[in-house]
Order: sequence, then C-alpha cells, then structure tokens
Amino acid sequence: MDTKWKKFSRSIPVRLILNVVLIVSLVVGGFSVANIVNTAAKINHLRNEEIPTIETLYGNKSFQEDISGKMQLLIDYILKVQSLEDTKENKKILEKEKEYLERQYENYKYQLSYTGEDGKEVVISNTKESTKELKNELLYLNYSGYKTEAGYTKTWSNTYRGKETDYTWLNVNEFIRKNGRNNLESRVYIGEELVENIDLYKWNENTSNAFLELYYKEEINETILEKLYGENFGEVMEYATFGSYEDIEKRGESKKKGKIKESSSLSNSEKKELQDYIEQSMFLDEYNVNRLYIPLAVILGTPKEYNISLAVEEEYFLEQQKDVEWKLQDSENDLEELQWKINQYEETLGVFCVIFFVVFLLLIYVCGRKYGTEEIQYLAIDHFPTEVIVLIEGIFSIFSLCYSSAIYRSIAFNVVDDNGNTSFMRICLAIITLWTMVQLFLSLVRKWKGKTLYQTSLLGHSMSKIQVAMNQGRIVKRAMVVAIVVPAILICMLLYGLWHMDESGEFMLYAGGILTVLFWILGVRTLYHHCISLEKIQDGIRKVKAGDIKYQIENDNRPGILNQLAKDINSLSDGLENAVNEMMKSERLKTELISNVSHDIKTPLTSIITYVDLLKKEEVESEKAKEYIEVLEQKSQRLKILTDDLFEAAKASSGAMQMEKTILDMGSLLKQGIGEFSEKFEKMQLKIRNEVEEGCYWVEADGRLAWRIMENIFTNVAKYALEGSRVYVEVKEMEKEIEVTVKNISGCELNISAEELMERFTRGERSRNTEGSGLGLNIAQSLAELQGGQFYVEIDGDLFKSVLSLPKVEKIEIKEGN
Amino acid sequence: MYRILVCEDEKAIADALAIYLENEGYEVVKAENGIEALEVVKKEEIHLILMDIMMPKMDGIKATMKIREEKNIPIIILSAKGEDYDKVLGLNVGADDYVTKPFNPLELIARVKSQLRRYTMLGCIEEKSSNRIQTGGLEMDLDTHQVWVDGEEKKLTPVEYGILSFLAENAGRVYSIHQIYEAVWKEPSYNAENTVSVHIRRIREKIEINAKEPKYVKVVWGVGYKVEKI
Repeated sequence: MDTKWKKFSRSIPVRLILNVVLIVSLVVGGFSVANIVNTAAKINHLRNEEIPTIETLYGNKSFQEDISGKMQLLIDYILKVQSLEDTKENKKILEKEKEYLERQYENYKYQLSYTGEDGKEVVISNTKESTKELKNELLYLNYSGYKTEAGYTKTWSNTYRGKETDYTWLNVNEFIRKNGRNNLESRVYIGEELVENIDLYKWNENTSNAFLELYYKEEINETILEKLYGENFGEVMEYATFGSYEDIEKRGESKKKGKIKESSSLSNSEKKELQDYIEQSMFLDEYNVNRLYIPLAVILGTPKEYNISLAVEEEYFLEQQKDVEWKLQDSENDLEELQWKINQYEETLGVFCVIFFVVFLLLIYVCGRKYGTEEIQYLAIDHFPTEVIVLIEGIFSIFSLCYSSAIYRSIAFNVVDDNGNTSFMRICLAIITLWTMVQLFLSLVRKWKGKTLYQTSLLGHSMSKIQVAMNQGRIVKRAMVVAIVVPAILICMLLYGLWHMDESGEFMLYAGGILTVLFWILGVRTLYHHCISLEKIQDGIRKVKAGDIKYQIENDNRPGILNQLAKDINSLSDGLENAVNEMMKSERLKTELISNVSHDIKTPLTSIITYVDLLKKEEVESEKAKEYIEVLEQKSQRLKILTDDLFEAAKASSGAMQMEKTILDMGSLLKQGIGEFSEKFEKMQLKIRNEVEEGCYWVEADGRLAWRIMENIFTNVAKYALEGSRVYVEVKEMEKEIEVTVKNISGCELNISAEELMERFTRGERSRNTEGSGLGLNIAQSLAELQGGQFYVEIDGDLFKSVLSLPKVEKIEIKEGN
Repeated sequence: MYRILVCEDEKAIADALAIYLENEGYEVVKAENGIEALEVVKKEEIHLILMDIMMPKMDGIKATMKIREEKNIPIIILSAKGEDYDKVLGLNVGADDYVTKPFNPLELIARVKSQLRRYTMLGCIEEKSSNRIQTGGLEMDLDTHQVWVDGEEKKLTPVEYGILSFLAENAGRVYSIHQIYEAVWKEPSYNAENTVSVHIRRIREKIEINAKEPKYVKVVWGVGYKVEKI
C-alpha cells in the first residue's frame, strides 16, 4: 500500500497533472480577479455616470421650468402683497391674483402663509383641496425666511418621498431678480428693504462679495463701503480677496461684539445712492456680472414671515418623470446583473483558490521525489543560492501584496483607475509572478527536504569555504586570519569613527586610519618579500627542471614560510642529485661490468688468435694439421666477431651505450654508407637505387649509432641479397619521423618470419655457414629504440625490406662545417 | 736495431708479441706491469712501447702518463677495452696509437713500423717546399702533389689527392659530400653522387693502416668528412 501510494504520488504524470492544474487554477483565478475588477469598474462607471435621477430631475427641462414658474408665481405674489399699499383697489388686484394663482396649480399643491401676530399660521392662499397632506406628497418644497435682530435666517427644505434633497437648480435669487425687472414696485420695495437693513445683510457672503466686486470696478462709492465695512476697508478687501468669506463673516461677528469700531451710519444721500444701485442692478439683465445678491429674507423675512410650500402631485410627477424612471430602472437592473456577475466570479475565484491551495500543498508533498529513490531530485532552479530565492520571493510577495491590495481597494472603495480596465498583460504578469513564486517556494521546499537549505545558501557556501580554508593548514589559516580579521577590525574602527562624531569616534577614526596605513605598509612589505622569495624559488625550480640539479636556491635565512619552502626544495634537489648520481653510478657499473666481462673474454681470445696465427706460420708438414689450423683460425675469428656483436647487443639492449644526439642529414648518411659498402656491393654486383637527396631529411640521432644501424642493414644486404639484383633505398617523411626503407631481393628462400629474424642469433638460412653472429638485426633494433626510433624488417616472398625510422627534426639550422 | 718494450701481464700474449716483433728484427724487452715498465724505460734506451691497460700494480694509463712526463717514445696501447671512451682516454694521456685486442698481428706490426718511422724520421724530411701541409703523420706537398704517411709516400689518384688536400688544408673542419664535390670537381653537385664517399673510402684504404678505424680521414656520420687535426 505504502509503496503503491509512493509509486503513484511520485510518478511523473501525477506531478505533471498537478502542475497543469496549478497553472489552470492560476489562470482561472487570475482571470476571475480580472473580471471582478472589470465588473466593479463597470458598476462604478455606471454609478458615476450622470444617470438622470428623480432627485436631480434632470432630463425634463419643461417640468423643471414648470416648477420654477410655479415658484416664481408664489414669490411674485408675496412681493405684490408686500409692495402694494393696502388699498381697496390693490386688494381687488390681489384677490384676482390669488384666483389666478389657484387656477394655475392644477397638478400642484401649494400653500402660502405667514405667521400671524399671535404666532399662528395664517394661510394666504392654497389649493382648493386640503393642503394638510402637502408634506406627504412625492415632491415637497418649502421656503421661508426670518429676519431677527442678530441677522436673518432662511430655511428651505426640499423633500422627495420624505427624504431631504438638494435643488440647487431652484435659484431663488433669480426669481427675485425676474420679479424686480418686471415690477418697479417690487424693485423699490427690495431696494428700500435692503438699504434699511443693510447692516443685517451686508455680512452675507454673497452680498459682501458683490460689494467688493463693485469696489474693484469702482462702480460704487468708496465711502459707502467704508462706512458699511469700517475704515480699514482695504483689510476687508484683502480678506475678501485672499481669505475666505467666512473671515468676513467672522469679522462681522466681532464687529457686532464691538471689537471693531462701528461704522457710522449712512447718510440719506448715500442710502439713496445705494438703493439706486440696488434697483439698477435688479433691472439690468441677468447676464450682468455686477448683480447684487438679494437674500430671500428680504422678501420673506418681513414682519409677516412668509412661508411657501409647494408640492407636486404624484401622478403628474410620475408622468413627467417617466423616462427618467425607466432609465433609472435600467441602470438598477444593470447594476444588479453586474453585482450578480461579481458574485459569480467571486465564487469561481474562491473555488479555484481552494483548488490552488490544495494543489500547492500536494506539490509541496510530491516535489523533489522520484519513485525508486529516496534522494531528492533537484532542478536547475535549485542551484540558485537560497538567499537569492528568498529575496526574489520577498520582492515578488511585496509586489503581489501591493497589487492585490490595490485590486481590493479598487473593488471595495470603488477606486477603479480611470479606464477601469485591468489589462490582459497585467493579469498575465500577475499569473507568471504567482507561478514563479510557487516554483521558487517549491525549490525552497526541495532544498529543505534535501537538507541543503543552508548548504546552498551563500552564507553556508562561504562559511563552508572558510571552514575548508581553516582546515587547509597553518599557512592558509594564518593568512586567512590576517586577511579577514585585521581588515574587519579596521573597518569596524573606521565605521565606528564615522558614526560617532564625538571624541571617542574621533580617536577611533585616527587610530583606525593610522593602523590601516601601518597594516597597508606591512602588507606591502610582506607581499614584496614573499614575491621576491617566490620568484627566486620559481627560478630555482626552473633551473632544477632544466637539468641543473645541483642548483641551490638562495636563502636569506629570514624566518618565513617561503624560506622554509626554499630549504625544502634545496633538500629535494639534493635528493634528486643523489638519485641521479646513484643512477649514473649504476649505469656506469653496468657498462663497466659488460666491458670487464668482454675484456676477460677477449684476453684469452687474443692469445688464441695470435697463437693460431703463429702456428699457421710454423712449418707444419702434416697436411691434416694445416687443415686443422685452418679450422681453428676460422673459428677463432668467428668467436671474435661473435663476442664483439654479443657485447654490442648487450650494451644496446641494456642502454649502457654512450649517446650523443645531434642533427643528422639522412641523405648524407645514406650516401656515406653506400660509399663505404660500394666495394662489397660491387662484388655482389648489386645495383643501388638511391634517389635520396642530401639536406632534405633531418633526424635527431647519434651519428655513430645511426651508422651502426645502417651498417647492419647494408651488411645484411651485402650478405644475403641476390647477386646482380637491385637494391632500393627510399626515405619517407612521416608526421614525427623519417623512415628509411632498404629493399632487396633475398638470395635464397626466406623460410622464416620477420619476427623470428629479429630475434637474437637468427639468420636467414640456418644451414649457411657464413660469418656473422645473427645479432645484426637485433642490435639494429635495440640501437634504433635507444635513439627513440624504430627498426623492423618485412618479408614479402623474396622481397626483404628493412625499415628504420628516426625522430624527425622540424627546424634545421644548417651548420657550416664543424 | 730498435728496442721495443712490451708491457703485458698476460705472458702468453707477451710471448706471442715478442715472436712477431723479433721476426721483424726488433729487440724486445718485457715488463709485467707499469712499474716494471717505468724502470725499464729509465734504465734502457727504448724506441717504442706496446702497453696493455689492465695490469696489476700500475695500469697502462698511469704508466703512459708517467713515461710521457719524461720521454717522447711512441706508445701504442694494446688493450681488450674497446670502448670509445677507453680509446679517447688512452690517446689523451699521451699514447700515439690504440690497438684493441684481439688484434691482427699484421696490422699491429704495420702500426709499430709506422710509429717507429715517425719517431726516428721526424724532422729529417728536408723542407723542400714551403707549400706543405702536415697533420700528425700525414704530410702533403701541394706543389708536387705528393703524400706521405709517417714518411712513407702514398700514391693517390688526382681526384683522391684533390679531396685529401681540400680536407687537409682545412683540417679539423667537417665538409659535407656536397661541399667536397663542388670544391674538388669545381662544378655544381647533383644528386646521386656516391662518388665522393667511394673516393674517400679508397683514400682511407690507401693511407690508413686500418681503414675501418681511420686515423686521418674520418667520417662524421650523417654530416660529412674531415681530416683530423693532430
């Protein structure tokens, strides 16, 4: 079960599937987020869009104008009531107006009232029906104003379905102005009222602002303003210009409290001027900039304290606002749908988040494992140092945290960026980032599983290196300590000095500086001496290597590792010298042995040969004795040759041969050799075919030994070649050697293999009783090998081929003469 | 009547040598080692010494050195040691010739004769012509084209004489076959000229006692030929 599970969980397909699922969940999750953000952006856009709402009544100008008109009528009526003198005629007029009013308000409900002397509300006019329910209507407007000793108050409230709303489009001032333009009486009334209560109204921000405007344009008498706003009008002006109107209001308040000297009241002429101006400003058309703001309280805040209420009947309102309603409905539907979509996406996101985490956990479980081995399998990514992975992980997580928080904010607080479009690229980037993070994390997990988290970190790596260095031996340890600890201390001192700008810091800075210079000088000195010693040692080693084994490295006897090294090398070269001497001695002994043995054999042989010779000269009568002497002579001569060749062979094969390698011209050597043998060749009527030129083939060899080889070859030829045949001498240039081939036709049948021929004491024809030891080819082979060359013979039928190859010399300096 | 000292510890060889030498009409004095030889040389008038190397008490090399300190007698070393460095050593300490054992009696006699001739006739040849070259026992008259070896005249062909005089004039210097050909034949050399080496072999056969171990005309293998400067 366990192994089955392992086999399953550690199989490659499982890991592949997990990875694919991870990527899929990442992609789906990513695009869910993208969709959520985009949808949220759409919702936001929808909300921000100026959709006509009931409250703003936007989109139905006629209805707007309708309401304005109705309001205008009511205000006009109040002004009329106010401005007309209480005559019978006027009462009739007012009565007519009232009837007209009541007729006008088909679809509206209104009520005009004022507060009576007893504080009760007196209704001037209202719709025929009961107006009690006015406030419960769909749209309800109420205007009233009061004037008190302290100032004036205005109240207006607009409700829609009982909710307070803001009808900024209902410009009361505009109503007043319209009225004033059409009606002289109203104008006069407003002017009088305003001038009369100028102290009350002048601190109204709009009014004072208008006055200041006028002051700048010098359209109003300055003295009036000074009187109104005090002597330091400039200050006020500045307040008005640079400060806010609130400041002016505050100033008004402090003035009221007596802090600022009360201005002197306006003279009658000034009052007249001001009134004229106010009237004029009301008469001028509405585009005139210098309009004077007239508070509603001027009209409504008479002692009667008027109260205007206006309500729109629901049916009419709804009919008027049908389009708006529909649009509203649509956008609400859209919103709902988008919201539903968001929920859908959120669900998807949630599901894939869960999948992602499950897969992630599974991957953590399976990563680095392979079926059949407990060893952790590392990937290329795992070669990154741990710190680097952690750092990248950190940067990526900060980045993704920022990104996700930005996304969250944009969803939660509707702060979607301007285009509201989370680009495809950005989502891809986020997916890749997340995927990389997962992979990096898995790498860390693998390292953790393999317990190489520390080893593969830069810290662990460098620590282990330091450890290795510390274990290297005393020299490295000492050098490491000096090279790491001292600079570290110095740096600490200097840093301390730089950070602490007090006395101790200064001391540290100076001390650190001096020590640094000292350390530097000392370091340079040590380095210099070491380098010099090292160079000496290097030279010494080079000399010893070049063969000067007696060379002793100069020693200045200063204590130091390099001097110790020099001593060691010196003793090493002593040892080498001894070894070489030993070797030479043994070589000499070997040579001596051979030559001594040869001497000991040759001495009796000499006696034999000489006495045989003497014997031959004696007059011997017996023919048989002469014959015997003949045999003795032959055999003693043969013995001589044999011993010579034998010792030659012994020397050549043991290497106890003196050798002096020089550069030889193979062409010359061959010619010389052929010249030497010309007599013998002629005797055998052998024709030599030698096309080898001089100065073309250069070899490195001992001339005498090379000649000995050629001599052996030619002797062989002279002995065994078929009489009257041709002998071919050829030279071939190979890659590293020069190959000389001598070919001849054997005089008798060669019933022997080339290998056998090369062996000692072998001759082509055993039965043939000729001079020669049978060592010739063997000696030639030994001598060739001694000179780094090669010698062999080949037999092809009767064709006998001797091949000698000697090391080639590439660059030749032709020496003239000696 | 020349007196020859045979210094040889091997009695058989010494006797044999004595026979050969007496046959030639020389008087033979024998010594068994270097010390004896020195004594003989001191006491008697000796014209030539045949000296073995391997001897008890004092070896031939030492004896040769001692004798050379006082006398100018020709010394021929006769030794079984045939190595090159033995020969060089022997000749360097003052021997006039080096013969290896086992020797050819005829050759030995020829060498003895040659050395004696040189020893006794040295300086006797009149200065007939100033145009003479001499190296060791080899003498050449460039005017009369005559060649003497140890006072004995040798007959050489014009080409042989040309080669020998060219080499002897620049004794000690090695010349390649090519150079010799151009100098002697006075024409550019082409390949396949075995002539020079053949001629040189012939010269050697004529002027050397043992052509295989030439004294004057030497082969520098793979380089060329030279006449030894003695």
